[in-house]
Amino acid sequence: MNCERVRARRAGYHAGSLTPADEKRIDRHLVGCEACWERFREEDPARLFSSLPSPRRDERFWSGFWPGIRAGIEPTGVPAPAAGGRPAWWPVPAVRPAWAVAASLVVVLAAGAWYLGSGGGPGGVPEGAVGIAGRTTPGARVRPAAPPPTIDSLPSANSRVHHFLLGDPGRQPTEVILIFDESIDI
Amino acid sequence: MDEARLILQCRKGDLQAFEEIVRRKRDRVFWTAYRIVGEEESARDVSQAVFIRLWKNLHRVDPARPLDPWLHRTTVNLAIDEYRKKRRDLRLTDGWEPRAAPGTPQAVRADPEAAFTAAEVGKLFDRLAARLSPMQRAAFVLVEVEGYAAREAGEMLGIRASTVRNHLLNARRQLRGPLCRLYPEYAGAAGRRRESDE
Repeated sequence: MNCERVRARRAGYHAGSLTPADEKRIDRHLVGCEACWERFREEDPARLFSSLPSPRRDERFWSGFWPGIRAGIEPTGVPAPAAGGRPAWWPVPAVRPAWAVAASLVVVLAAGAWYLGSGGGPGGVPEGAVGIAGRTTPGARVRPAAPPPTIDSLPSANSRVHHFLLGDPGRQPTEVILIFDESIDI
Repeated sequence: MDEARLILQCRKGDLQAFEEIVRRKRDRVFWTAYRIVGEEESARDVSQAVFIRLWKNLHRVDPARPLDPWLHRTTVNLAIDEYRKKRRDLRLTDGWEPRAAPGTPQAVRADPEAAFTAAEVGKLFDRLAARLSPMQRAAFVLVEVEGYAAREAGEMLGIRASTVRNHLLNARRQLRGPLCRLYPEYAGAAGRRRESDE
């Protein structure tokens, strides 16, 4: 629908008298056409609400507001330091949760794939793996890995534990445990 | 003291400086939250949560840039969460209306022949916006009320500008219909403007 045809239907659009199909076609045009977007916006009765009042509330309304904020921030003491104050390898606490999960999963999948590929042989669980627990096929020789973490040994009560089983059907699955430190907010 | 200096003071743990920031920004934060959650008590809770979050994230705030966009983004996201939670908790249907502020008269407009006062516009919005989804409300408040561009609102909400516009179109439609049914002179005013343009 071009601009001329869209604008010819302005009255019907704002009155709600067009068919849903026509409304959708006009909407699609408006999303992409700045000139028509502004024109329709100017004429929309809902513009009434673009001047909603935001008056200052009196002090009685704010009674208890600041004390409530203080109660929420005082346990943390001084605000967290700027990024330069933490070790370079420490993850930024507010890293996007999806990226944190994805990055952790990539590391674990790579370790799991290496482990499966090695058939559970002398390589076993990668040395130095932390937070990874693996089960092997019976009889396979494995270098003992770090004992899997338990609830009691978690660094913090706020740590989050996710438990997965990975592997192909018909093969012994690899058990994977992901532990997210409390500093990673997911 | 200007905003940048206040933020730098707050980073040193100066609670007085932080209280000053709260005092300066609390009304705007409150009203942004209120437009989305539709209730004073919930809007106050959201506002407190915004400032607590600000304290915990002061190291991420650039003192050289205005604080308002950060506050708006955080307020909108917390308010959306609260609004969704309230709707879920109360098992609301589409006809839900938020609790009005205490002492709100039933009639929105005192004089049916006169134009709306600012307060009446606010009350009418409270009623009609109850039918909007959280994202529609957020998009409408950020763009139409706070004056952000669709692109900026999209960055705050984590969606594309085109999606913001779609939310806006749907929000306006939801508001426009009942508004014109209740007060047909608004549809008429729009028509008179169109006739004068042609």
